[in-house]
Amino acid sequence: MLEKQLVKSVLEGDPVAQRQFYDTHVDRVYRLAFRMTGDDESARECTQETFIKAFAKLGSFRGEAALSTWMHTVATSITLGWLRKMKRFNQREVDIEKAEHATVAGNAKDVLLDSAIRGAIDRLSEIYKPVVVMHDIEGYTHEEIGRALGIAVGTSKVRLARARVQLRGMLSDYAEEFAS
Amino acid sequence: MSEINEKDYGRVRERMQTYNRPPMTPTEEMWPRIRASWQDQADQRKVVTIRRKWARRGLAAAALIVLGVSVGRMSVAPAGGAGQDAVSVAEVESGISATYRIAASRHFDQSETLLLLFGNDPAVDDFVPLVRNLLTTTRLLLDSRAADDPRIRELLLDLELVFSQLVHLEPGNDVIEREMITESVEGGTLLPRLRSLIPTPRA
Repeated sequence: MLEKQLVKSVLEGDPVAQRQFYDTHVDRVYRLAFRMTGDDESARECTQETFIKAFAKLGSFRGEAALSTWMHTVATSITLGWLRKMKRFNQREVDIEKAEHATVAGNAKDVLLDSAIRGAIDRLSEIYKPVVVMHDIEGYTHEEIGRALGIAVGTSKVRLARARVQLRGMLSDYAEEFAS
Repeated sequence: MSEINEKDYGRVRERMQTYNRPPMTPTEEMWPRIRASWQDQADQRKVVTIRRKWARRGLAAAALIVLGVSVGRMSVAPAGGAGQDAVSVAEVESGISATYRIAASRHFDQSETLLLLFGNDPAVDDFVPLVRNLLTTTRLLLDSRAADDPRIRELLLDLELVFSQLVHLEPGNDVIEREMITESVEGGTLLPRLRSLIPTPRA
């Protein structure tokens, strides 16, 4: 089904189209929300809010961008707004216990490295963290990030480059572990 | 202390996959709330659409009434106007009657629709503004030359009563109040009388 036709059917209340729309986008929305918030409950909340808000605004979808890109914009806006509201974006301490729990199958070195990476990403500013999470972890393109965050493609690239410099600096203690 | 070079950043990036690694998406668990919200939003849109439609109709009816009143005022012969052309006055009179008839017909059409909707048990909160508009139009028509026709006047008086009852219907209204209104509608054979004065649309 063409995207415009799908949107029309969704708005008209066609249950099959509504479910198709949901199934197409839910995984990526939830994954991004989880990556950004770090817990299931918050990710569910953000995902549900994203779809609720998307339906309210779907009438304004003009098909100028892909529906998936449009959905990322809504999802990013909701998730970043949620993070600001919860004031957790830059304030969360590195939770070593959580990292150990998450990598229960790994050895002590893995736990240490995962914990260091978590701490480094969490210390990135609100400007850089979404770009790193979206590009380097979830595989979004700079075009998608630009649209989702409302910034130019070039700005997204610059932010990623600067974020990587910061990450490399923060992880310098572990340089030998990452050396090829 | 050594730096991580750009080449080795690829290994950092690989390990970054462990950062907040998402579990399996709880697709089915999230869906019911989303679906329910979409249904609510769709229902609200329908109410808004009905309201807008009625507001437009109300404005159109009011404009017709105002036009009728204006034409009526212009047609009043000046004192001592002995030389007035009798044919011209008759034409003006005919125009005024047609204008009022159209205004009244549209009003009856809207009134019938609302009474049918009320019969289907709508949420009172959603319909009170519409009823209030109809009540105002009913009173305007009662004060106009549309009410010169006894059949129309009687019908307008019955509508005024029903709309007044509806406007004062409280949310969560009890059965007795609703029954009183239903009785006013059915007892006065309001709907058939309304239909008899609504012209059949031309094909």
